[in-house]
Amino acid sequence: MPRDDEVEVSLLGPGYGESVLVHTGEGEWLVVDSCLGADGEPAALSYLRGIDVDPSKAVKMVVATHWHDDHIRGMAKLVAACPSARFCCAGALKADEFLGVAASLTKRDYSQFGPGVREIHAVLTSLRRTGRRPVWATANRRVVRRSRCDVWSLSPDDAAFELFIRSVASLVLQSIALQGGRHHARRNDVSVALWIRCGDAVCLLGADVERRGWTAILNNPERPQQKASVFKVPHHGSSNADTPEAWNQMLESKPLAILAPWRRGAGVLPKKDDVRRILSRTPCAYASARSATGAVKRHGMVAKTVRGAGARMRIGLGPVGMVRLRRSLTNGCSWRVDLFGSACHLRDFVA
Amino acid sequence: MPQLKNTVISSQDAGIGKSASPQGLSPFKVDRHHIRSLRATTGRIAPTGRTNGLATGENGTVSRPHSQRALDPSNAGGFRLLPPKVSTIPSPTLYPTQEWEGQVIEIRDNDFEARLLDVTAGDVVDREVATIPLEEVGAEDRTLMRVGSIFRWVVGYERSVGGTRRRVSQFVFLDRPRLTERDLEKGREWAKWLLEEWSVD
Repeated sequence: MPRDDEVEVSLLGPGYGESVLVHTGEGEWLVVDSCLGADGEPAALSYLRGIDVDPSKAVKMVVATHWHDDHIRGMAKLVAACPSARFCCAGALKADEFLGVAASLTKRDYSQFGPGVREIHAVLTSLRRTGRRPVWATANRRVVRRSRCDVWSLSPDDAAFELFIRSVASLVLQSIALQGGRHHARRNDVSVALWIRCGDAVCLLGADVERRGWTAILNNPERPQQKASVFKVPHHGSSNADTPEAWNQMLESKPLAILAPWRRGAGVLPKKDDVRRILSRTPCAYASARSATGAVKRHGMVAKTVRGAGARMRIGLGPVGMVRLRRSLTNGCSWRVDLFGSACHLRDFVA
Repeated sequence: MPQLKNTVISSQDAGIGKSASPQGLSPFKVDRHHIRSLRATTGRIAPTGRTNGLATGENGTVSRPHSQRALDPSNAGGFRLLPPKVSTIPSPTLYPTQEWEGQVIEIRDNDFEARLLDVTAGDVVDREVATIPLEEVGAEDRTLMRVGSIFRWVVGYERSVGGTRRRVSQFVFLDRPRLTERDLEKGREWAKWLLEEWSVD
């Protein structure tokens, strides 16, 4: 457990999905996004309980940066386990166009594979029933104000909101027209980037904000100006989120960069080029997990049949790895980096 | 789980849109046509333990839910339930050894990739990913395959009527219903319920 005068930033990720925990000092925590461990529990809860922190008292805010399932799996359970926490998500999700569709799609989803909208639906329903009001994140809004800790949401801006509403309309049309498939709204228009100051330490958590979003953030003169020493690299290191100006204007020289890898189908993030690019900006870059490898051992007959069918199986979701950063809140010292599980330096990540 | 063996819906009365809300049953709805067509192609499947997603009937028939018709013995909702009907046509039986629930994440020219939840092991997280040749999926199920669609994959033994045993691998895709205007209306009602509390910010 970190000392009361220590700030901690921990990035958890099993290879698909991520969750960031921030100890803001004096035993108070902020949890940003949620992913699941192999036991089906939110990894953030397992971590906090593992270090003897009671999430029901210690977690003061839970943030859902956006509703894609690599950021939101287990969110409803997490929010339920943290009754002292305020829930924060993009103000754009308050749009009744989105809420209506989210509820409709939730009703039509019968499988254990829940889309992000189902988590959002469950969270908002639970908050409404228990009389808890969400904090709506928008560009340049201070969502936490404490003596030694400020948290600002830097996005989404109004233009992102409009793009989002258009994509929701398209989602409705697809849902009515298509029978069977789930609808992948992959855009990250309303992802919430966070600027967090705890004592002297500043972190920038990039969520999945893409280049357009960073340009809007950079062009906003009202954003907090202090440069960050820790950067949660946006969108799993993808080139579509890379904005050199953000590195130059919002981060200290050679910051600590942390990212959670992502894999879906043939797509892997970060790619080799992404790794090279990030390492060219800072040598201190870490991934929460190596690429998952290997396969589950099966009954001989099953393995034989699967092979006979020409199918190839692999582990898609490994054990949760963690990059943990700690430093004193006030004395300006450097961060201490600890790696757990399959977390690794980014140069050792194999795309 | 639908009790497929003991309930038959009269085809005369099984009109579209007369669905009832099943209680204690899988949300997946079944009709006789599908049961027969699946029997014709897959034979029977011996019962297994837990089932999610696509239903496994008591007599083991793997069935794809139908979007418009319901099977609910306790609340027929306009359906006329007929007495149990025992099939006299012998059919092979499938004994599942391994079952997964899958979600398609990518479709390519010759194969598709899916995340798999190990139903047999009782997993709660989809830990595996499989690349599967498209030819393994039957023609009817191929029409239901899209990125995001859900399927059941069963690997097991099939015992023929004559007693011959062979290994089989079988995919059944979920026939998910379209989103309707009524669904959207209900969604809007929920949004209104939320926002009447939160609209003043």
